[in-house]
Amino acid sequence: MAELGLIGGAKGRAGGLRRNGGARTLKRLARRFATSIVTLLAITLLVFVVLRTLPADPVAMLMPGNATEADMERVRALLGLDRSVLAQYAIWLGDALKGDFGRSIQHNTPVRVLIADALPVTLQIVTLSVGLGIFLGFSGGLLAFTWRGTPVEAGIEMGNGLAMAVPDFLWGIILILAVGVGLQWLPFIGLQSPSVTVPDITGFVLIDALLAGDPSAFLDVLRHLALPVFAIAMGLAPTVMRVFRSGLMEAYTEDYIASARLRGQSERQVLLRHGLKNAVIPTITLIGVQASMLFGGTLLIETIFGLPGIGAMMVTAIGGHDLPAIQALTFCYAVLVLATTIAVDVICLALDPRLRIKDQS
Amino acid sequence: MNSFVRRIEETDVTETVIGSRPQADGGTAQAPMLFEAADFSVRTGQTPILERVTLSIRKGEVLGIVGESGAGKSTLGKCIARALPRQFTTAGRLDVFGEDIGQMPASRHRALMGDRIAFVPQEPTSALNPVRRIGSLFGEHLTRLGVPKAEQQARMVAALSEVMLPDPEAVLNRYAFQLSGGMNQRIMIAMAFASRPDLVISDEATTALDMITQERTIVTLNDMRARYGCGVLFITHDLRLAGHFCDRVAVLRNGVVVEEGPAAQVLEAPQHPYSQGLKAATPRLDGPPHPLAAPSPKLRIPAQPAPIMAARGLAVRYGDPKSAGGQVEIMRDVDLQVEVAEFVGLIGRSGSGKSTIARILAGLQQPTEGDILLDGRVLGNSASDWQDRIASAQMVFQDPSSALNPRRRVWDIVTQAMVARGERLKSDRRRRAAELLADVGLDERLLDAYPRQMSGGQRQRVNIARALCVMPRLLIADEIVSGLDVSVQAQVIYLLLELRQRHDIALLMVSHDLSVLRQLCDRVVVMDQGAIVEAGPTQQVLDAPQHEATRALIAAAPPDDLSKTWPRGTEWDSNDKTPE
Repeated sequence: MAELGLIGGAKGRAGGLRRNGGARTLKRLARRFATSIVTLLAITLLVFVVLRTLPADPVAMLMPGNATEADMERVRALLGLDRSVLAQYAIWLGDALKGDFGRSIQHNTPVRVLIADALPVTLQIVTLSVGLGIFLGFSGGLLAFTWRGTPVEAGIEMGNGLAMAVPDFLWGIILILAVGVGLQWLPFIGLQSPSVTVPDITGFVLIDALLAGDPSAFLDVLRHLALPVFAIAMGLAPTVMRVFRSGLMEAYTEDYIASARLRGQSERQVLLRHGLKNAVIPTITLIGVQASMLFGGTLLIETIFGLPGIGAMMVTAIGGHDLPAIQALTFCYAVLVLATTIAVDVICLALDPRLRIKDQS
Repeated sequence: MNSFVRRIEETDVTETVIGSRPQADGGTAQAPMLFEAADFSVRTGQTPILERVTLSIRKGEVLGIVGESGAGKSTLGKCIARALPRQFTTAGRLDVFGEDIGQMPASRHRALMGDRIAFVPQEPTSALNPVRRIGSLFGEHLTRLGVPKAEQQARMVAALSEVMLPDPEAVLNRYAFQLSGGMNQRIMIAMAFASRPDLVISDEATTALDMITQERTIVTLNDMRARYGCGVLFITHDLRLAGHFCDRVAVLRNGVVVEEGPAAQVLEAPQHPYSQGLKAATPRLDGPPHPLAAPSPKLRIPAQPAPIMAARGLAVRYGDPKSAGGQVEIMRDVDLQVEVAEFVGLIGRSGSGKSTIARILAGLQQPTEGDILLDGRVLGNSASDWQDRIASAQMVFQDPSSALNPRRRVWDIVTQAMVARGERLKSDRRRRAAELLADVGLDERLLDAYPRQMSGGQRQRVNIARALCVMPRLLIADEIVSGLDVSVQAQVIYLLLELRQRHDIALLMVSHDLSVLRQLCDRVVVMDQGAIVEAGPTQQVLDAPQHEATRALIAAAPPDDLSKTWPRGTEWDSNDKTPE
């Protein structure tokens, strides 16, 4: 790459400038990180207070039906539930920072253990969905753009409009009915077939299957994941496609595109070298904005497809008034969403020098 | 790829005249022909952009194209780049290096671009991709020219030194937005000359730069030109600049070359009245201020008067003739025509059908009977007829506050018509918007303003500028000054007259204000109850009205003479109609 060679050859003032740019970037990221921590604390506090105002008494749920009022008071004091909400939050936060999220009321197991089992399932689904969603969105956008002004574009646009009108959980149901029940091509319940066992190495079943050198198990898990992943991806892809295509259209009104053509570059080169990168930047930003929706989508999708992820866990925890689990899962979701937005920020910084380097002119 | 190597060797051998300017006479007369336009015309619909242009550039020669906004200066460059919007059609020959640009296959054309033909753009900073370093962009260009990767760094540093950029290594590692406009323009020049082009096209390359940067850029361009002996097509609106830099200058007006010759002759002693007018309108840097005069008003009279748009036997009726109530007749037997550069006033009381005529001519309403003719041809309902129509006649609406989209910026509003015909490039649109604002006497700083940030008069100017975007030959205006203050009204009247002088524009103005029409129009047409009752030269009709309706209109206007009794206390007459 010519660009890399040039960076290597950079000397003098330009080098200094790059360092300044680096400092600016680091500062920006540090600020982003700090605000994320504050946001995280605010979210957990909010959820903590809201859960405590619910008409659900955790002690009553813990104690057997014949417990006396005195017993209840004793347990309440034991658990610290007689203290102020803020004091309780301080205790929770202190424990949470140590990795202790308390015990699940429903399962009487440490919440940490439950989450450790469920989180990889969700992460797996989300990663694959985002990957597939971006792939579908980008290829659709590119196709519509290269065939702009033709019936191909009109067709893609129409399909896009339809896909956009269907929410991801509805995709899930449609896919189950059509591909799962109707055509019976793919399984749609659980993470793997009952006959298949995968050793628990990383917790990520797909990776574990590979590590165990079991391609049939890998394929089995993949087949189980196909429908939910596709459902979530279809929730993301239409928006990505739309923004990517309008990003391309926008970029193509810029002078540098005309200028590249005037230098004799072919349309393909113009697209790959000048149009694409400029169009990808707003698209990546959009994906960051959609992150919360994306993770939120797992609640329904995991429930629909019977996947033991944190989404399904959240749904059962809410149903069972399992306050420690709800609290910990909220925290978990908040961390995931914030981490995604930071990651998107980092990618944008890497792609767009205008964000890294202050305008000099 | 090989051509690059070949020509480097060529220039190494022939490089004899470093720093000296090849003379326009003698020296280049035998030089090979680089660029030749012969009877070359460009049109969009019926509107001519370039009319039978015949120009040429020989090796080592600089040809300047000067003219006012909308004269078609940039179109030549666009034709060479084959970047004309779809609706544009061409006729005649446009040759580069003896080959017809329009006929050569796309691959052949692309091979010439950036290699034997190089472009220097108007806005260098936006012409460089903001997310890639200068070195990456320049390197990519060198790769296309066949320079091996290993040699690129050295070549780029040498090229940037040649255009007097300090610290070339550092520059290569920057992004365009980190550099000044002048530096970026020198980068563009360095890139343009990297291929040792035979023909360089510079379209307002220094317009966006300050005076000092402009001088340096011209020095660079001149130096490179002398060093490599290429021909230059130099498009500019700056006559002085053209006079200094060009060997020969062509003056373009409304797409026609009105004068062409050695730069000194054309600019110092212009022969054509229009070039004389341009010279008179250019302020001088030294000596006492001379009165600036726009090109002579006489120019507005075209060689032969020809109707642009005409209505023949228009009738408008509402309702079903078979129904009980029968039909309501709004208009009958209307014949009307507007000629090139003619201002026609349409008067009549409310409901007389004058706005309906305006809407029918603009294509916003269909007549029940009758034809609309454009350049003597009956307009049908086809899409191409519609394109011709909107390219020729534009409507200016009455209320600018509601006619302008409040969410769009001025530059965007006035150039919407460009988007519609495929001219999407932002810098082109902004440049055209700046020209249009200048045309209607607005400051360029208003380009990024929103309508609500402007005064009513400014908004009406924007409204007019928008109609002017496609260079229409006819403006159809419905009461466009009635809502304005007298002072603003005077400005708009003056503006319309100025536009006619500059662009031969015709006007059909619907108004109830007789004094405005007297000031503005050559001819007035009086309507009453859906029919034309009187028409003729303004003076004649208003001073000696023949028809009762005309007399009534004139009598109803408050007279200038305050001693006369007004209002006269007439009663409402019986045939009052509700306005349509």
